[in-house]
Amino acid sequence: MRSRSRYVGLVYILPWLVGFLVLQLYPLVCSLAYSFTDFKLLGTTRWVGLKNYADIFTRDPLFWKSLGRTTVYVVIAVPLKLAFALFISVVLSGNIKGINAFRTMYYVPSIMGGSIAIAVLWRFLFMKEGVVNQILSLVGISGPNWLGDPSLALFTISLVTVWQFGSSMVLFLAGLKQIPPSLYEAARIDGAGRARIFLRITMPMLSPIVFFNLIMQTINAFQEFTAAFVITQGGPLKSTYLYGLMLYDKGFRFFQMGYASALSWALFAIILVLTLLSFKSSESWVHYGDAQ
Amino acid sequence: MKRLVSCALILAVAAASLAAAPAKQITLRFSWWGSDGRHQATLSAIKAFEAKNPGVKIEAEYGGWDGYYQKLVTQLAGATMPDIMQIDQPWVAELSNKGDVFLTIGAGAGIDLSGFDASFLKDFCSYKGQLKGLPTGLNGTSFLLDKDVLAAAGINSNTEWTWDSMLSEGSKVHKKDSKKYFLNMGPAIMSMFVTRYINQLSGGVFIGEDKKLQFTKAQAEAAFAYFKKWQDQGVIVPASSSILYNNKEEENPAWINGQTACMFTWASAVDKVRASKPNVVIKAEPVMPKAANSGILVRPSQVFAVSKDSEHPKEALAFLNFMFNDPEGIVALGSSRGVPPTAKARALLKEKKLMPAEVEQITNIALANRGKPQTTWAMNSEIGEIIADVVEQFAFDKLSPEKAASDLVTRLEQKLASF
Repeated sequence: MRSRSRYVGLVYILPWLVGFLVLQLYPLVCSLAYSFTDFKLLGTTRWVGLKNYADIFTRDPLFWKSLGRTTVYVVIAVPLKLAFALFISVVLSGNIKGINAFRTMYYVPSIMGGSIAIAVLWRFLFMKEGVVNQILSLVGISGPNWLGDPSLALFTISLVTVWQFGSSMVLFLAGLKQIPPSLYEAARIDGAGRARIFLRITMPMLSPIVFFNLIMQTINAFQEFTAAFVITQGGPLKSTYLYGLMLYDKGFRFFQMGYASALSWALFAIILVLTLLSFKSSESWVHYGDAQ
Repeated sequence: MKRLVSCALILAVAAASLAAAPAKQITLRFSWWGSDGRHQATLSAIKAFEAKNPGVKIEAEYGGWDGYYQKLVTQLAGATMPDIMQIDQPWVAELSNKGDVFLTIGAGAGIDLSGFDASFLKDFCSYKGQLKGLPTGLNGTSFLLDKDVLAAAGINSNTEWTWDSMLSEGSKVHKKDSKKYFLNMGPAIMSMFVTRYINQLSGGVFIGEDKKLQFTKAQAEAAFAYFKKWQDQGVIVPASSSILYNNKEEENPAWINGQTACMFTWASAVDKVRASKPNVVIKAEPVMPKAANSGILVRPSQVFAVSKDSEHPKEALAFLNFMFNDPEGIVALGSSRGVPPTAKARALLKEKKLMPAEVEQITNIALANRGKPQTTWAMNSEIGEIIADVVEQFAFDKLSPEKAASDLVTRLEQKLASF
């Protein structure tokens, strides 16, 4: 009876299991194997050992360039996105009429966010004669060349992706609801102001959620592709040439699949190290309610 | 037990429906990219062919240009490619270099090749002397000029464009109105003009089949010094505003709203370039007097190739023959892939008045100035990336003409040595 029920469980997760094995695990293992070869999709493939990895770190100036641009992007986009999501969720956690409608509305961008059509729209909004600059000119400001200026384009791309703050917002909202009202009451009785309550009660109680969102958004940001690909194609002057774009170019424009596979594993290693570092640092700033 | 029975039933139904599938019907897959006009024309050619050949069904797989190459190469790698493929001309060599993927079209293939220009087949559709595909049409380039913008700047619309007149006349547009520019051209197309200028100076083909550069650093520097004048005299839109429309200049509002006077076009794309431009004139691009190579390209619009692993090569070739040589196929396709490649088809379309005047005019202008065909290395995508990168840095004023020329030569030689 016992073993039978185990099989029943397996049958239930079979659709997921098949998807995972065929569409995730198999490609994962393949790409690891390819990263040690000169696989070019067509023609013969040779085993090259660690050559791809050695080339990445010692002979590819574009690797360092795009890793640098990606880091700048992560450093701008992730805090901006988290701050914005937190701000909106704090506003939405109050008792406002029609609150559910607002919550849905703020989540909509995350559903549409990554699509090509939206990215094309951003291009129209932020081009030199675009809507954003026209609005700015109404108040007498001559807007910058958001996407054509190499020193500004990456910042614009970061701004644009903040728009997809919905998933972080939902988690923040759930976290805010978990904080016992008694804590706020006690603080108010002791005479704490709003800012103090936020910093001393809300933030520490919310820190596990902040930590989770930080990790997830950092991982996502390192893999950002669509916005930079559609809006600027990595330009001008490669200023928005994010890691994902370089990986795509190597793999699907020049068909150096082996090298591209190695690049993606290098990115995996970088993200892994950063995540472990975050976990290490979390000991000093993340508070789990039960542990004291 | 009940479950077992139902499983068995499902299997039985599935088996029965498989067995009931009609036998002996040959299905060919045919893929191409294009815009809606080309899709409709090609679909009607397929319909006409199927009507004449009831045993053959052609499955159309069509879409836009973006991602087509990626998909095709992936299909070739996984041996799931279509039987008949529309490919871009440089891919004939690029893909054949990687593996033997295209069927060689021999003498007894059942296709009448007499109407094709023999040098065209040899220069553009062959790999190591073997014919690997057939040109879908003739494609050439020229300038398209907005008469209204020219008139506003006091430029005669009949001006013939030379490298000098582009400076002397072209600069008038920006002088007259500081918001306007003569040339609507981003760094990607500019890099094409840089190589063309260099080819006209040197008479060479940029990179020979021996992987050696066919120009000197001094010639490259002279070219960049000339294009610096385009920028300094306000002939060309600044790179910081053209970059967003790099290689899709026709989408730039500055072109659509009459802020720029001139853009470069392929005959195959003239429809979309002039979509919002009723008042245009077509003119030849500049060529230096006595240039041994004008650098101006006339090449197949695309190439139709048959997969080497197709199970029905005979039928696939018969379909190609139908599109190129059967009056019904010719009329159905019309000018959806530019001027047709065979004399017979051109005559037929002319007689039926199915050839748009602009397409024919551009192709004739380009044919008159036709330069030497490009070599495999000059068309290589990684080489193109280097040229585009250097020109983009130059266009953003990050490189002086001297530095741009030396960067170009050094980086190209490095890359060529690595192949």
